[in-house]
Amino acid sequence: MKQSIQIENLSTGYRSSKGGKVVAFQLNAGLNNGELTCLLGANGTGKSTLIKTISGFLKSIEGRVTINGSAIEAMNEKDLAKQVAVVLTEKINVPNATVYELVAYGRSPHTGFLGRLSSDDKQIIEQAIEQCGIADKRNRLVSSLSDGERQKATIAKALAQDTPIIILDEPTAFLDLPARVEVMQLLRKLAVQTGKSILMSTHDLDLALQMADRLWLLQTEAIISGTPEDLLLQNAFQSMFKKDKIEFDNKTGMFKVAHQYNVTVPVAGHGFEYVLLRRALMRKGIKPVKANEIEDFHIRIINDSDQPFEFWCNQLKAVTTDKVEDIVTEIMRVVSHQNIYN
Amino acid sequence: MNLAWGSVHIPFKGVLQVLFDSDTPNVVWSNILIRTRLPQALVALAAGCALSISGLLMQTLFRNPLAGPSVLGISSGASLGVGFVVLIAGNLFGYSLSSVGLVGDMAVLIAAFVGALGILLIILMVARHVGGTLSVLIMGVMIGYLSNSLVSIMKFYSLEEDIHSYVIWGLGNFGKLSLDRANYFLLFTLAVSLLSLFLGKWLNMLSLGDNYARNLGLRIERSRFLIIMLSGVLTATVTASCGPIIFIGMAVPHLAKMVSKTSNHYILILNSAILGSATALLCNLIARLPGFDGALPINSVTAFVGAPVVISVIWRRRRDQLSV
Repeated sequence: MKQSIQIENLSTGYRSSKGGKVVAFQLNAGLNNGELTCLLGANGTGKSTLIKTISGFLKSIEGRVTINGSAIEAMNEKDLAKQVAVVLTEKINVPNATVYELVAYGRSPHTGFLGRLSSDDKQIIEQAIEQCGIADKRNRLVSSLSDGERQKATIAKALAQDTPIIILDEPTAFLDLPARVEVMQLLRKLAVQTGKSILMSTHDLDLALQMADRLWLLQTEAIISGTPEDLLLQNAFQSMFKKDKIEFDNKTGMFKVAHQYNVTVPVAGHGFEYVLLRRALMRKGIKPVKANEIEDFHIRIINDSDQPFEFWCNQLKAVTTDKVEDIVTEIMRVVSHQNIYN
Repeated sequence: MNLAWGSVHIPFKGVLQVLFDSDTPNVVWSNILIRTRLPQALVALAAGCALSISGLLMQTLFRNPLAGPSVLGISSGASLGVGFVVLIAGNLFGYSLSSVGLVGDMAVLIAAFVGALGILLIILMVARHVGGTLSVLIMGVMIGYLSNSLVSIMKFYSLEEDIHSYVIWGLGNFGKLSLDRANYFLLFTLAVSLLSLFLGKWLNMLSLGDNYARNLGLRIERSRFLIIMLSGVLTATVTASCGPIIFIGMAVPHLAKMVSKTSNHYILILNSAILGSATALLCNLIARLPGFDGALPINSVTAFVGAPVVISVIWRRRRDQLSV
C-alpha cells in the first residue's frame, strides 16, 4: 500500500529563546492511502504537538516528515495547502458565513488572486457538501448549526481543499455519542471512497478500536503503529495506559476502573443480574467471590425470577429483593457490623 | 440634500443651477456651495468610505466586532502630532499657532499625517516581529494610550486658546479642505479603498482563524502587514484631513454585515464603502440641520448614530449566544 506521510526519527516540541521543550522523541510511523488512522495517547503525550508538526504549523525539533515524497520543510505554504487539509480544535466563528461559503473557502489554494470560483470549483464544493451529508443545510448560517453539523461542515471544507491527506485534531471532542459515531463513520467512508489518508487524534478508544484501519499509539519515545487487533494481541494498551486507578481489559477492549477492595462477599449465581450486582459491589469496595453453600452468609442469584437477589445468613434467607440497591445496603450493614465485632 | 441644507437655505433647483449652469443666478448661493458645501460633501463621502473599509479590515484581522480604525493607535498618533504642533509650538514661540491662519492649518495637517504615519510604522514593525495577531492589537491600544497621555501632559502646560483649538480639532470636521484639496482627498482615498478589494481573498481566509488561513496556503505575516498598512494609510489620511472621526469606522461594517448575509469580503467591502459614504453624509447633514445656528461638531453626531448600532450588535450577539 502506498504511504502518503512518513515520519522518521521525528522529535516534536516547541522552540523558544531559552531552548524550548521537546515533547516527544524519535517517532517513526507512516500513513497509508485510503485508510483512517486514529492517533491515541494519554493527555500530555503530545498528540496535538505531533498533529501541528505534521500539518506544518510547527517546525520539527529533529527528524523528517515526508509528504508524498517531499520533505515538509522544503514545501512552501501553497504546496502544503494542496497536500494537507486540517480540521482543528479551534471553533470556526465567522460572522454571517453560510455553510456553502465556509466550504467554498476550502477552495482558496486552488483559486486565483481574486478567489473567483470556476465551475469545477463549484462542482467540487457541491460534492464535498453532498458527501458530508449536509446538503440540506447549505444556506444555513454556520453559527446556527449544532456542534455535530458544524464539525461536518468543517470536514466538508477540508474535503473541498482536495488534498490527498486530511488531518483532524480531536474532531469528536464536545460531541455526544451518536454524533461521534457519525463523524467517525463519515471519515471512514471518505477514506475508502476517495482514497485519502485521514489521520485523527481522539480520546475515544472504544470507537477507534472498532472503526480505525490503523492506530498510532503515541508515547513519549515511540509511536506504536498497527491495526487495532494486532495491537490488542501485543497487549500494547496495558503498558500505555498503565496507571494505578485504571485497567485495560484486553478481552472487551474497554477500560475498567480499578477498585480497592476491603472485604469479600461470597456470591452464587451468574447472568446479567450477577454482572450488575458485581459492578455495584466493586464500586463500594466489596469484592465478590465464588460462594460455598456452607458459608456464614452469602448472596444467591435466582435468574429470571421476580425477585432475583437473595441474601442468606446462617442457612436462612434473610432478604429477598428485586433491587440491587437493597441488597448492597444490606451487605454493607452486615459488613460494618462484622468489622466492629471482629 | 447635503448641498441644499444648511444655515442658509438654498432650493434644489438653485443647487442644480449652480452645479451645471455656467451663468449663476445667485452669487451668494454659488459661493456657499462651491466654497463650503461641495467640498464638505466630497470629503464626508470619501472619509466615510475610507473609515468604514479601514474598520472592516481591522474587525476581520482581529476577529473582534469592536475593532475599528482607531484600535491601532493611528488616530491617536495623529492627535499626538497635532497636539505637538498646536500645543507645544504655542509655548515655544510665544504665540498661538491657531491664530496664524492658513500656515497654521497646513502645519496641523502635516503634523497629523506625520504623527499617524509614525505610529503606523511602529505598528508595522511590531506586526513583523511579533507572532500573534492579538499582540499587535494590544500594542496598538497601548500606543494609543501612550499618545493620549502625552497629549494630556502637553495640554497641562499649554495656553488656553491653544487647548481650545486642539479640542475643536479633536471634534472632527469635514469642512476644512478647499475644493481642490477635497478633490485630491477624494481621489486618493477612493484609489486606496479600491486596492482593498484585492485583499478580499486574504480577508476571507483570515476570518476562519490564523491557523486555518495558514493551512489554506496564506502567508499570514505578509497579509497582516499589507492589511494593517492599507487600513493605516486610510485612517491616517482621514484623520489628518478631518480630525479623529469616531464611530463610523466601527459601526458601519456592522451595518454592512446586516445588509447582506454573507461573509464574503468582496461584498462586505463594497457595502461598507457605500454605507460608509452614506452614513458620513447623513451625519454631516444632521450636524447642519436647518434650525441649528452654525453646525454641530461632527463627532457628537457620529456617536449618536454609531453608538446605537454598536449597542444593537452587542445585544444581538448576546441573544445569539443565549439561543445556541
